[in-house]
Amino acid sequence: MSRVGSAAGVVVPAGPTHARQSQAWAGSAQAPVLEAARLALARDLQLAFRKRGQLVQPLAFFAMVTMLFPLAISPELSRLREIAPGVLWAGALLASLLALEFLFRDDAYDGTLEQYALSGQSLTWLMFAKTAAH
Amino acid sequence: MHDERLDVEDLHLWRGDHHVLRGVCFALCAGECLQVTGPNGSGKTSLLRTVCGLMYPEEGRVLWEGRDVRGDLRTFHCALTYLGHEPPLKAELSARENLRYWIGVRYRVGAAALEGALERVGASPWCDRLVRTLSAGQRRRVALAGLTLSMVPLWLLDEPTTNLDTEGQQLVGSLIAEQLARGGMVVAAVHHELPATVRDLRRLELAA
Repeated sequence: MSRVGSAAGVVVPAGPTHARQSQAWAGSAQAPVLEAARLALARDLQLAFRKRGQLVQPLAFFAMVTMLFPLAISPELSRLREIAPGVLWAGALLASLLALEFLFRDDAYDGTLEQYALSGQSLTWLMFAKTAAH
Repeated sequence: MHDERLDVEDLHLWRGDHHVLRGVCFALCAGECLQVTGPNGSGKTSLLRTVCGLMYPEEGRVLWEGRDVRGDLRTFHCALTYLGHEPPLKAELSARENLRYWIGVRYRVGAAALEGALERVGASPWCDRLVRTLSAGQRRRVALAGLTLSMVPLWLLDEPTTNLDTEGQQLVGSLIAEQLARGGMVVAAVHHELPATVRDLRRLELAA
């Protein structure tokens, strides 16, 4: 993975400047991609817990939808039992839509996505980590 | 050709009907710094973003070590660090956490190196405060700490001295000088001259 390091390490005529260069660039070994993805995941989770509002809002919405349904339709138990799975899933879907907005917006604004794109790491893994945190 | 070398050939970039970059050419060898100047809106940021591959030019090529970077963007990205005019920091994380996540995604960085970088930019006293509570200059210093950890041949810096006090601007100067001394390259888009500590300075003036 340490492309930079190895590219500089290939230098054959090890003159004084070359030796100095390869040493300098070797100091920054590219992190393994899974480690990078782990950090991206940890970062997003930590951010989510710092921003309580964004974390609580979809959950509160989900609770409200599920509570309002019996009030709106009928308190009859057999009927509720029938529609419960549908309500839960639809409620969860809508709640995750609420949080979807925050998934990439902040990162796009402050340039984090750019840094990911330029990190030389696999974007697939980084984005997988982000969506997993979501 | 193993020596690091950046060639930009005849870049043309359009944004809508505005011809932003009109045939920009330059070549940069190891140990050289290019200072890009020009009025607001003359395309300094666009030039940096085009060079690092975030924007695609309508015409022209960017060559790294003599090869078109579009053939192998990944190798090129591993060799560069781009610092935009907004530091990529999260307001809800502390300076130290920001640095750890931001740099950790790219490199293996030990805790000691992280502390050293924060110390270097004078961030040690306040590196555990949330970035939300930091001033613009302090944020810029955190971004510079990230730069000191980026041991890559090519630095692309957009307004590196903005919001910094005199001492901070000198710091940018010495960071660039160190990068050049170890055989690196720097392209910096600036409004004010870079500090005099930067030697081997080449200039590119973009017209409005």
